Amino acid sequence: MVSVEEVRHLAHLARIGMKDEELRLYAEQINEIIEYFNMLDELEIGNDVEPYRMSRGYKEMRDDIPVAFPADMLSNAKSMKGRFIKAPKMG
Amino acid sequence: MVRSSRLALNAYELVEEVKSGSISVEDYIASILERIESIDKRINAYITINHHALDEARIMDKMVKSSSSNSNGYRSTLLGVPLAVKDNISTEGIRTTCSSRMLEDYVPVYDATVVKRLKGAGAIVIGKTNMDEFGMGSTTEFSAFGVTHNPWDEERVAGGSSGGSAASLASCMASIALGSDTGGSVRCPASFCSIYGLKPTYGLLSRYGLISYANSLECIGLMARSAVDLALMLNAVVGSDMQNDHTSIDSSIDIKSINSTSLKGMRFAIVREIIESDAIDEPVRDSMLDAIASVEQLDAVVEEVSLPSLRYALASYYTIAMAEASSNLARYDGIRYGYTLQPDGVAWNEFYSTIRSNFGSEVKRRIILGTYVLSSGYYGRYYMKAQKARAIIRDEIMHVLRSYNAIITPTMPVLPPRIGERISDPLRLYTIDICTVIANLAGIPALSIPYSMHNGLPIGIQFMAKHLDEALLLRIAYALEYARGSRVKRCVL
Amino acid sequence: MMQADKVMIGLEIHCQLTALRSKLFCPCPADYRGKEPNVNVCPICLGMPGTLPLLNRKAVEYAVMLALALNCRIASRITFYRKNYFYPDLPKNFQITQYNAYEQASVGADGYMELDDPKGNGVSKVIRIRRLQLEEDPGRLVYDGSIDTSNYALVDYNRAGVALVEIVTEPDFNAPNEVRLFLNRLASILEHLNICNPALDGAVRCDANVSIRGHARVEIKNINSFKDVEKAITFEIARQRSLTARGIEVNSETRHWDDARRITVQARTKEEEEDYRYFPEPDIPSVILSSEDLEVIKASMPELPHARVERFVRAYALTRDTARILVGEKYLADLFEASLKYYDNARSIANWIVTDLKGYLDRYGDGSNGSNNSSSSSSSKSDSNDNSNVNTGILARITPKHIAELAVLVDSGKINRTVAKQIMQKMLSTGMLPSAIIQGMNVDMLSKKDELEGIVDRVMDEERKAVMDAISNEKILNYLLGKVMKYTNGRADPKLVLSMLKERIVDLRSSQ
Repeated sequence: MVSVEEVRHLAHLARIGMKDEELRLYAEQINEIIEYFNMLDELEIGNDVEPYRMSRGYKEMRDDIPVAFPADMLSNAKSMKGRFIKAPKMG
Repeated sequence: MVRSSRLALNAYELVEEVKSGSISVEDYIASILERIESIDKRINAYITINHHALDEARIMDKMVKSSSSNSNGYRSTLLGVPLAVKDNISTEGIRTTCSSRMLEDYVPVYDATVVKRLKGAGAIVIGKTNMDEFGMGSTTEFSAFGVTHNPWDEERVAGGSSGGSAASLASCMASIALGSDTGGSVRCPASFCSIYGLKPTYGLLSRYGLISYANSLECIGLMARSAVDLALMLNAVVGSDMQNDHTSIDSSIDIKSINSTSLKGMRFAIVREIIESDAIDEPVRDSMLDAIASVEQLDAVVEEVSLPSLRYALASYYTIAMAEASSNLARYDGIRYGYTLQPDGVAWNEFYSTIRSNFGSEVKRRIILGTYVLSSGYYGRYYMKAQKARAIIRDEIMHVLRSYNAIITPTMPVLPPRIGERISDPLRLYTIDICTVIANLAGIPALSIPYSMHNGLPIGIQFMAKHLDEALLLRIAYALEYARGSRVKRCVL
Repeated sequence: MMQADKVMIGLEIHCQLTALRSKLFCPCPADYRGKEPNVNVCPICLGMPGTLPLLNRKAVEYAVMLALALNCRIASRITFYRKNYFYPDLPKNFQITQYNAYEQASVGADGYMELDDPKGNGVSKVIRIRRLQLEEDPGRLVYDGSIDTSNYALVDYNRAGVALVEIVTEPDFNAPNEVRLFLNRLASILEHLNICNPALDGAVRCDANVSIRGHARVEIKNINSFKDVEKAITFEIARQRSLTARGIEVNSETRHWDDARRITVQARTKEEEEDYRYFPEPDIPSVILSSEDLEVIKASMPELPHARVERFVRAYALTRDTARILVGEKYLADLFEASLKYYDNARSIANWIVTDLKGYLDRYGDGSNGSNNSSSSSSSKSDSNDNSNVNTGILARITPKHIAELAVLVDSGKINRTVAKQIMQKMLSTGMLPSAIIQGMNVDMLSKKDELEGIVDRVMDEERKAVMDAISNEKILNYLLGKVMKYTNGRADPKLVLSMLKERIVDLRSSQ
């Protein structure tokens, strides 16, 4: 069971502000869904089964050729100081 | 202005008329915009209209005129065709919101590769369509811009998450549309709106510009009102995009051989676990059985197979999707773009948490769940296990597809639900994706074909084929379209 | 030191692959230094919605080369992972890096570096390398005024996405000087592979973990240059020893190196326990390196320092010590080999570079650093590395031709060493070639008798007392020689002067 406190911690890890009633509702729904996910436990999988992953030869990767992007990349930033983007202070 | 009945033209028919000079692109686009103006208040398919659409139409008309003297003619295969684009696919200079408050004023500085290629083939972006926020949903009810109504029954949902794109085609507010499909988001609304919805092989279409929900599962999908339109679209957008997407595949699809009216020599599989499932509504099962009979009449062979690991598909799918989503959506923090606050004097954790509380409820739920399944101590139990389950399911599907050309299932196990009917029970809502998630887990192409109506409500049938066998799916679509004739309507005027 | 309080030190080193022209996952120019804020950015490195990482193949090659140079096992499937945490300098709020908890995902693992015994020829120590991985650099945060007075942070994403190699060692170092040897050798490897210029500001950064056996481990972060690593560790060991000596337990904590005060200080905020939720980056397929690919990369690798030392000993008959000094700083070794093209006398060229040029550079560096901090006695020799910043000005002016000309002038007897050193001073400060300096200075050796007669006679006149002493004691001749050299500004041929002085003394002796 995922407790309300655990949901609060998850919400903090994900930086999503939630009120207490929201946390309670989510805890309830999340438990139901996680219980459903738990059916994966019954699936007997040997260590020989590789998790699904795509792979490619390294030669297919990008050449080291620099290209400057032409458009103004700051057009969507709202808090600026000169060409710096403003952010909250850390700490 | 063109007569309103002409708004139901298939794209390939429209292109012919434009090239022959009997329809001007400007007139056609103006009529489409007028129709949107008059009916989209009820349907709510569009979030944003492209205000340059008419200008672009005039340019197309000029190109047609200047090339008519040229013996080759104008080669663009989608010349002047009005295109609806799901609002999670980037369009340069046109707001792209993902139906989220978090991106309500975000304007991309670049076009998605697929958009660029369709524009290059002559298509005109009409606008950006409504969806479940960030693609998370099957009904287009989880949108910050309101629900999209099903044109066949406006009290019902259009399906999701590409509900706006499907509804725009079914109500003749566009001729072709782009959606995205992570677990069925193109095929579900296609089925509920009686149009075609193709989820291509993973990687066949570049994902550059598609705003990520679950990277390893999702594809840009194509939506149209005819098999030939779908083929034209596919032909315009395939081809390697390694310079923008390292998961993209370099392949072309041979669409020349799709126009056969027989399915002779084909072997189709139906899945016992789906046929026998009590999750399938009766009308849907009936339609499915009718479809089996139809393909058999077209000389295909249909046999039953078993996919024993299918019962783990949804758990595997949702675990992977939510894990990836929780990470993908971390970038929406209000600093570089999107919804924000003044950062002055705000503690950083509070800054993030306040801004990010503006995600909708379903998005928050999935981010929290995704955070949970990746968190310390749970990775092996959930994410890793889900990826292994995925490998097993994939193997089972591949095994079947070595003996059969395609697998037939209903696209959706239910008829389009009424608006509000399912939204309050997340888990129950997730379970209606059972037939569609398989293709995303396996990375194979799947096509929802509009097959029948039950009490005026559309029912779609899904065909899944092996990797890069899109041409086969188009051929099945063409043959069934020919065989079903006017029994299947694909838009409401 | 007592064996009982054995010190254990491990390093985590970040090296930017400064030789790359574009960033790790996007084609933005990688050269961010000295640019206006946020000009070196594109939708990918700004984390714009809908963008996908595009792995730089060359970055993989460089990381593989470094991993091979450090004797690592190369992953057969190189896989990237996402490390999820929120920070304003991180555009996506996750860092694309590598993670070995479930497999060897990182480019290299389980390698080692041998440290040469500074006194002898053997290997004194083996430092194990736990892993070597590729990852992206975050952006940079700056503050209006100071962090304490500012109400907000300012972000510059120019650096975001620049390719980093992270090297993590086992805690195998037992003393700060071992760390210095390791880092010097690593710098030389980076330079020889031509993948990272460690002299560039911020190109190499180092975190260290330090513990005294039986006590808690302390992480030191924020050490922004190689030269400070040894100092920070030396300080931290002294701090921990002083605590344990007083019976106070060392706290397991993160400390920062305060460059200005030259001490470690407790990190500003206690870092909360992070849960990074690593998972494989789905947008980058695992990269397969076939054994053929690996062979091709191996074959393309430049000569490594170790092999170069051996070659210098073998091919040029240098002593191993001289060869090591040359190779220890790649530009010296390069200068050496290039100078040989103009003058094929390896010992002479090596001597000029190792003794005179390097000696001058070391002194110049010391002088320019202002008041020298004498607190850490062990570090004075390690300064050769941080000099490289200062030296680039001088070295840019000195070509192989300079060195070769100087050596030829002396070896041919055209000038003597005293004059040669004066010429070198001038050559280093102006960049003029020695041949040109000689013409301008009129410093050709005075090697004709008639040019010197007058001066020798003058000295004999002025130094009567010494001349008388010299009759009975020949050693005094050197004093007289010195006087002649002084009057000729060192231009006189000392052999000739000595013979002239002898002649005159012999005459005096016989006339007595």
